[in-house]
Amino acid sequence: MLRIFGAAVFSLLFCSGVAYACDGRLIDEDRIFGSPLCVPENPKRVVVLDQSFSLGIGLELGLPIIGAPLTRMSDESLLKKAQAAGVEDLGFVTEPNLERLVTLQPDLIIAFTGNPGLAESVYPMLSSLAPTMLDTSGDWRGFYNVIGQLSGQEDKVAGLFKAYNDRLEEVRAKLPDTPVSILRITSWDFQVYTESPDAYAPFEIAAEAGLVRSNYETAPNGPSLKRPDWEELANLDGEILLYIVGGTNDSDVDGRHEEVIENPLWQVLPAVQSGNVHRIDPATWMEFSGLISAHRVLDDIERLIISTP
Amino acid sequence: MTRSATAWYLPALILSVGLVGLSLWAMGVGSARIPMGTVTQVLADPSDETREAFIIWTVRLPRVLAAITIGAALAVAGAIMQAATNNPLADPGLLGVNAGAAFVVVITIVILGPAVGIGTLAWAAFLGAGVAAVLVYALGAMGRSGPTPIKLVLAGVVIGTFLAVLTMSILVVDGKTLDAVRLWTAGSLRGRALKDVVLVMPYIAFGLGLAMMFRDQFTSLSLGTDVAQGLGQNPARWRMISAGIVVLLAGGAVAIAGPVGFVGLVVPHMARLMIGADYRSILPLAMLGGAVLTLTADTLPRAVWGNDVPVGISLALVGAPFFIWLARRRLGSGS
Repeated sequence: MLRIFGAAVFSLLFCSGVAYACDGRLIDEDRIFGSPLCVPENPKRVVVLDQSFSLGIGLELGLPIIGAPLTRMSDESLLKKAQAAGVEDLGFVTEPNLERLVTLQPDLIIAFTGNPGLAESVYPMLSSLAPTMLDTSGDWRGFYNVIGQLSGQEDKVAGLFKAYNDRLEEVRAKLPDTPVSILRITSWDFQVYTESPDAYAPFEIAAEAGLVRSNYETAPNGPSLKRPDWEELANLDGEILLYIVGGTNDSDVDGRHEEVIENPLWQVLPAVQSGNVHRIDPATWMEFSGLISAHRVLDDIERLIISTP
Repeated sequence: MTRSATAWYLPALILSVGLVGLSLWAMGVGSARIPMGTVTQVLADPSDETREAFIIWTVRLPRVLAAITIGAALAVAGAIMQAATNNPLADPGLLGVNAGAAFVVVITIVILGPAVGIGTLAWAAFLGAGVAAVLVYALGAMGRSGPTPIKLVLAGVVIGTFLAVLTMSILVVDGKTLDAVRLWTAGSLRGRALKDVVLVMPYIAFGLGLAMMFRDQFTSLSLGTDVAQGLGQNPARWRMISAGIVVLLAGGAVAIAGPVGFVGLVVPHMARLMIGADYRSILPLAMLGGAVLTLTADTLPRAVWGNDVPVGISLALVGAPFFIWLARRRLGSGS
């Protein structure tokens, strides 16, 4: 009965749209699901549902976050920051504990879903708990502006981006056009995040900094993710090879890492032959969480590619 | 008798030639383009150190060997089970033996960690296969009518499903183990290492050797307890030996590829349709036919659609309709 009532209220709110009077803050952005959306003027109890963008950017901009999925998170420094801020763990990101979410009594729920389909499937349930702001675009820069509006820190956001963009230009000017390959090794397969129109943020940043990837890793028409098998591994023929093991899977400790680097098909890769292979941190490259991660991506590029002759 | 004991010579010759051709073809299938000429060249000269040679030796050859090994093992295991239980529907998958082996393998990975070697996993698989076989037979033989085909299948389905559910619930809770066995639980031959396959092959070869050596005994066993005793055989003892060989074959196959069903059901029946009910001929043909069917089922989806379908799934697509047809034909008219 309560659910039917909730659904009725929801559809009323949803259909009435702008006409509905908002006594908090009205967020009117195409990228937010169900926009225009009425959220509290000064949210006090925010729950975020991804431990990357929402948590990282939210904490950076001083949002009062009380809950987030922290289980099996690989970004240690962000995890420590979250724990220090008293953020409670909601479980693993793909299956957050709903009961814990309810007991936290949030006044705002935020998630960076990256696509409208996912937002549509979770919105009805979440919005019956609290105003729910789901970002459906893949663009993390704009997300800063949205969060900045919420915490009244638009000026800080502009300053942060100014500093970052200046640094990006510096790196770009220094970066040689040596082809670089980047590979993720999971416990069960290989993954290549390509340079493509909807590339995952760290790889988009690498491309913006002028990093040249191999042919196989450049996909102007997508897909943003390729899964090469052993036979296709040879396509990662950059002069420098960066690879990711571990993170949300156990490929760093379950024997998979050793199995791969001992395989002759790994050892014939040009970068392996010339000794230009570097392990990079899954926290930076797989759990991107805003400008702090973006700076870390540039750190890696400076340290591993620019300083290497 | 003599003629039906030698009826397998010609079909076996054809299957052997076919298997060799099929293996060569399978070595040419994969995402890297390697012409057939290069394949034969690499196989002829193992000292070659080109990338193509590495692909053939570390990716394709292990996969072909694994398909042949598990196909032969499961088909012979199925044939022996059909003879020993006098049950046309017997198969290590249907009767829960594979599920038992898979369950103990997963438990072993949970306890010892994902890096545990395949040598240990093979013994875990033998243990699981053995316990499941005993349980299914005990449950199926309950009641006055004894182990009838339908009761054995029901017992196998009950115990097999129960063990599969236990396995799934472990994997749901334990993400690390799920990561390690993700493909394996669907019965996949992708990414087998040559040393792993070679490590399990002796067990399976031993089981296959025993099966071929005792062909006469399985034939007597298949004629029923009374006839077998009349021929001077101790059926109880030979059922035990049969179970031991099945455990070796099915357990070894599960250790390599995970639970793969239906080969053990389909292949012996095809052999029977071809040359009659004499196990002296059925067993060698099942061994070769199982290898041919499994290698085809593993390679064809990749060759035609470029999709890597786990062999357990492509075999189920062929095997399930066959099972329904067989069940209707054999059980429908009998009861």
